[in-house]
Amino acid sequence: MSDLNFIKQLQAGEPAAFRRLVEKNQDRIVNTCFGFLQNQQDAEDIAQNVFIEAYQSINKFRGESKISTWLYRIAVNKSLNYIKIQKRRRVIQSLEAIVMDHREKEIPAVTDTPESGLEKTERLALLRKAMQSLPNNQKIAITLNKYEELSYQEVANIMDLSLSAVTALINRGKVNLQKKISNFYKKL
Amino acid sequence: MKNKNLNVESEIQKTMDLLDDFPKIQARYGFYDRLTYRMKQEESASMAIPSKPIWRILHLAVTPVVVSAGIFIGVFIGLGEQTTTADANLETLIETYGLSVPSVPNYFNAETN
Repeated sequence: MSDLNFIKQLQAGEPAAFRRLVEKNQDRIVNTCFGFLQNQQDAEDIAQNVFIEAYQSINKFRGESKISTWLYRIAVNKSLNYIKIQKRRRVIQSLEAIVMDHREKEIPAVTDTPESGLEKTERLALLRKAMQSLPNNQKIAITLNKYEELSYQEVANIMDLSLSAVTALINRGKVNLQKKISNFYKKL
Repeated sequence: MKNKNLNVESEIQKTMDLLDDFPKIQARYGFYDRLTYRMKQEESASMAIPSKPIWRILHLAVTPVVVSAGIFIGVFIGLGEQTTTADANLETLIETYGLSVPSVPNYFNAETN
């Protein structure tokens, strides 16, 4: 079945077509959301929101890009919005904690020293934490490229940027990541 | 010191290498079923409220007007009917039993006098 026919079926509200859309894309959308949110449950909740939005606004989809590109865009926007809301909540909660004088001490996620060497899971945690602190556009480009293994061109399509802009973003992002990781090890 | 620096450099490199080794996360079993269940729930919850913003605004603006108009009309009709019925009943009683209306002393005037 051609993409155009498939889109027409989706726009006609055919349940079988929607099921196909979800089952074909659910893993990549959950994985992308996870790249931003670092939590399986949150990633699945946001991925559900992505498909609900796709279902509700399929009539606005003009077929100028691949349907997966469109879904990735929705996933990135929804994940970043969710992070923004969570940040606001955390600020309010920490303000409440200050007022209540019950602020919990932050437990460092990584406790080992460079001499003994970190475990792979700890290194991954460190890397993910460093990625979260990157500027949004670098974070999007690296997440799509590294988590989803999308080519630079595909990332450029999703972000609506030129190939050279995406290349620059990913390179800058890697340099920033290296700095952050290096700072972490030097502090130990 | 040199040893420590070398160690740090190697740790940084090992960590950076993991960029190409992120484990892939998959949707858990039953993702589609959970999604459709949620969609059905949200659909039934939003049945009462129209989905388009303009209808939503109209719905919110018109609902209190309709409700208060209903209450007002209800009260108005109810009061009107009660008054008519009370008068009609009194007249019917007087006519049926041939009663005469007794002259009621005006106590209020008497007291003030």
